[in-house]
Amino acid sequence: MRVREHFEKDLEELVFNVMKLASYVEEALKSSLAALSEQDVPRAEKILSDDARINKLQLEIEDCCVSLIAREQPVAGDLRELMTTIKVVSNLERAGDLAVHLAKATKRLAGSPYIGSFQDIHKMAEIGIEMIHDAVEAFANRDGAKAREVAGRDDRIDSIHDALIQELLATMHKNEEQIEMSTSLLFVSRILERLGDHVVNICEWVVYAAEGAHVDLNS
Amino acid sequence: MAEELLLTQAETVEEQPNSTILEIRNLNFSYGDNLALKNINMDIYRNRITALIGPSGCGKSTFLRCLNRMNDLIPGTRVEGEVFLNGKNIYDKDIDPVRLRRSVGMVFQQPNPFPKSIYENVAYGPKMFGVRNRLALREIAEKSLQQAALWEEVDGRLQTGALSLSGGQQQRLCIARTIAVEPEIILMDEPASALDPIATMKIEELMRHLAETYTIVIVTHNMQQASRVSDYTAFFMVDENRSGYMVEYGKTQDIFIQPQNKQTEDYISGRFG
Repeated sequence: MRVREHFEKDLEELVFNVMKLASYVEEALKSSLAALSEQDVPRAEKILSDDARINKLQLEIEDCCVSLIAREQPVAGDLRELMTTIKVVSNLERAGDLAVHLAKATKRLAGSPYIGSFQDIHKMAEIGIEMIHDAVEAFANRDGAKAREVAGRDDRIDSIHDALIQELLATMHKNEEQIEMSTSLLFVSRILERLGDHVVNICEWVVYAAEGAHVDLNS
Repeated sequence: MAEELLLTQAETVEEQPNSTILEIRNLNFSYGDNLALKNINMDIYRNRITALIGPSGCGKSTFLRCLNRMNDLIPGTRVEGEVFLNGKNIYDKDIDPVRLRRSVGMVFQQPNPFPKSIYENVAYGPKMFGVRNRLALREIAEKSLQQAALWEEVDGRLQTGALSLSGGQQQRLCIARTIAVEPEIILMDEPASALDPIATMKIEELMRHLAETYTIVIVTHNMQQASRVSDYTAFFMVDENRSGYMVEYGKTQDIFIQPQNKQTEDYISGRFG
């Protein structure tokens, strides 16, 4: 018999719920991107209504962490894992909010034809969503090396974002009629750049859980 | 919450540089042929609370008693190595153990007041060391009871029998009795294990206050108590020959957040022991 069988089961269930939350967020981001690219307003509306389940699960996980800290007095790796869980779900919830922002942008942009840069938006979202998936996997396995590798991918998002800014500014200079659409795309690009930052935050906490050291993976 | 508490204690530790009061070097201790403690080396810091934790039989109480030669009273025991108190080895031949125990006092698991009045309990030590003046004794008793956070509960009934006090009050009386002879170090062997949670919290709070004046070394089975109350923690284990040894020693926040040794982590997180 494991000495702390109940506690360890609770920790396993917690990790399972974090993965479930991450899957909700990935699903919301994928759906919001599809809604945006296809200007599918009913789909965007669904993303807005589904956000409640992300917020609800985040609070449930946080409550569970508080309860385990109070009842089980975790220390060392267990304590770091619970602190990290609270930080990870907070960043996941904010990534879920970005899907909501994309859904709102879909409603704003409906009916206006996109200009050429949408491929880059797709690419940024694809990288960001995969980063979430892999960062949460690193969390589940307490894998600091994997977390560092995932955080490194944010550079790719940043460089696409920077190039897109230049491209859209040039478009606005050339064609005043494209200012409104270009500004909206800048906003979308900024949302996806923030997505990368949230995943980097998650990775930093995974390193803390695994190794006990605070690291800056942003630089 | 726990992390916050540990960080607060850590900040307190950082306030002043450490000054070593006890240096333990290559300490071995045997009961007859059984080596109960094996090669212990550690420094204990002035005005800090050091907790000794570990499973039953790991030698932590034996180690504690080595620090004021209480083990001298047990026949057939042998000590090797050195324990320097302010640079002087307490096992040198010219050291008087009775005088040593004045400098390094001890509080035990079960409150053990003398079956005399509250006043007599506290005044006993100073009398034994030559204080005869009644007024001076009275002042020492009052000051000691105040330091032990018991004065307000016993003022006006100092002649009452000590055994009429509650368990928690009796333990604080024993602490007052210990500090009445102005020790430098107070050794505490499971001082709260026989007390209820409120009395335990009072003892822990008292320890934080006492550490401003004294150095405290505490043996505890209660790891949450060690994490709450101590600045430094030493983890002891027992090997296959039933010899106790020290696995890890460091700042309490490091031991409880990021221990360096897997055995320490398994023990403090309740996975063995």
